[in-house]
Amino acid sequence: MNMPQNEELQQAEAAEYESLVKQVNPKPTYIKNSLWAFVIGGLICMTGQIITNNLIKSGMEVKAAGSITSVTLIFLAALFTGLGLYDELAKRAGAGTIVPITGFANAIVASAMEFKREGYIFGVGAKIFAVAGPTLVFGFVISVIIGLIKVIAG
Amino acid sequence: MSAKKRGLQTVYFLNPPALVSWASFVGPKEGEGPWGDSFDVKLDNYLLGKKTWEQAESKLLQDTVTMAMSKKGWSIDEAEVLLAGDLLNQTASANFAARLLKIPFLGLYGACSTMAESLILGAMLLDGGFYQRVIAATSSHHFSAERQFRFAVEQGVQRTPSAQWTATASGAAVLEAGSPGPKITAATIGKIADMGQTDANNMGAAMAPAAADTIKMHLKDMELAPDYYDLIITGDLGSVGAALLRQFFARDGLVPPPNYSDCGILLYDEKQDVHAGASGCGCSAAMLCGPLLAKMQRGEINKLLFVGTGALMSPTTMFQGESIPGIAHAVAIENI
Amino acid sequence: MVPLYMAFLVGGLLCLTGQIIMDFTKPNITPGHILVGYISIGAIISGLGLYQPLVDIAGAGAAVPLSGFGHLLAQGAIEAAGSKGILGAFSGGVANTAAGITAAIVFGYVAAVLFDPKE
Repeated sequence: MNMPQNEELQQAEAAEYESLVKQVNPKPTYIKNSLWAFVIGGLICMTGQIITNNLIKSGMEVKAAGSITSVTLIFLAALFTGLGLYDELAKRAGAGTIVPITGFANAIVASAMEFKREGYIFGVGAKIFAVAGPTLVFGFVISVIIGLIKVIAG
Repeated sequence: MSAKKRGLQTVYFLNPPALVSWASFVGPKEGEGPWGDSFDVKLDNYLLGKKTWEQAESKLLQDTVTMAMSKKGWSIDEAEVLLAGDLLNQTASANFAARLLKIPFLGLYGACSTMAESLILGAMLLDGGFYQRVIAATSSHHFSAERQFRFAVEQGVQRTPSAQWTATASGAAVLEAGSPGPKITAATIGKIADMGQTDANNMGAAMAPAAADTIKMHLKDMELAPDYYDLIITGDLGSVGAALLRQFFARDGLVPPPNYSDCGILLYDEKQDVHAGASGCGCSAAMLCGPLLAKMQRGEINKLLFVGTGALMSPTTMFQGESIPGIAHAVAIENI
Repeated sequence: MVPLYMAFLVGGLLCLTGQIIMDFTKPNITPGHILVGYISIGAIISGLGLYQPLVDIAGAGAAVPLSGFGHLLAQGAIEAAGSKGILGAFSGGVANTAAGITAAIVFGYVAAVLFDPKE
């Protein structure tokens, strides 16, 4: 008899508390965050474009140029992560450093560096995908589904 | 009801044990904070000559306990029991510190409320006549906590405004029966309060209801006016949690409101970019075993209610969609 | 060749969208969710043939964000499915993005050897 009532009361209290928390919680600095994300994200992509344009000018074909650009950006992200600088930028730039492929690289490199203390096999080896794993899993699964659709639909 | 029990949740010590010695160590960031000079040691690096953060935290705890004893010229084995804990899985830091300290050891997990928890248990062991001298201690280390609960150090993350910074700090207090010093007169063991908060970046909101509940019960059980204590201080509610707690004070009819502060807010200053404040077991432990007890010694505070607050979730339960259970334990420390 | 300002603009906008999602949605939507969202949505839009036009006008502005990685995965699967059938559907995506993934792993490992996390 009392159980459903208690639960309802609990839920009502929780909802009331949640709205109080929302009121009291300081809001993110929306404008500053947005500007930083836009500018830094744009600059990282622009850097990629500069690399691609130079590679194409030197005669490389578009697809290969794209690949090498990715690898170069990943290398730079790894370097900055190793030097302890990437997270300083990410603190301010938020999505501007997370959305580009450099964010993916940073997650992998940071995990590798951190867990080396548990050894290279079970530390680095096992934890290297701790953060980036989900993106690969979902990316692969969706690409396979798309491929299968192509096979079926012709 | 036992002569030592008051109301529903509070115990009263007929032979109040005294805090006869204490020590606090803090990391570089904490040393640069407003209370930096009130701690015994301000470290200049986070590794303490060790190879991993976990080993460093263990050394931190070990050194703090050693200093608390040596301030009175005692060696470690002149204490009978060590009550200690930390944030790591299986309380790793405390275990390995205890390995080197070599006295009987009870490991505790109360998340950030561990200092309060260890003081309460220590006081009970002494008031109950089981031991003469025990040590209550705890530590936290920013980097060992981050890699377990959140992210690798070099990962690019943008912390939210309500996020708190796990302090690298540790505090140890030596309790003795029948000696002079600030005394633990009463204690209230808290119940878990969970109001459905799921934001791991807002611990303050998760813990505030527990703090409110414990403080209310303590005052009610002991039949005290809300302004009885010179200071009621919570462990690490941070600015968001503290604001919420003040709302609870009004709601619970605590009028006039108590003189209230929070260790998490005090430990760092605004310029250190910690957002809502400090967290971690070491935050409240170091503040108590540093500035607060020093003030009590000088008579600037005579009646202190130290309320450790803890968020008892794990990364696993978070991913499983559980909310964050909060707990708070109150320790009354008075110059009597 | 794609003008630099287009790469800047589109890349910036894609990141801005991510930032807005991070700031305005419930705290349960973490950056990890955003990454999964970008790669997935990028792959799906690419599968519908709608991402390539964006790459054509914005170049790196569309290719560098993680949605561009999803685009590579989808296009790789589609092309390989066309030539190798079911086997291609399984191998195509990975094959196309192999350079990037392997680079991340190798550089990650090297960085772990050379560098320590900074305090």
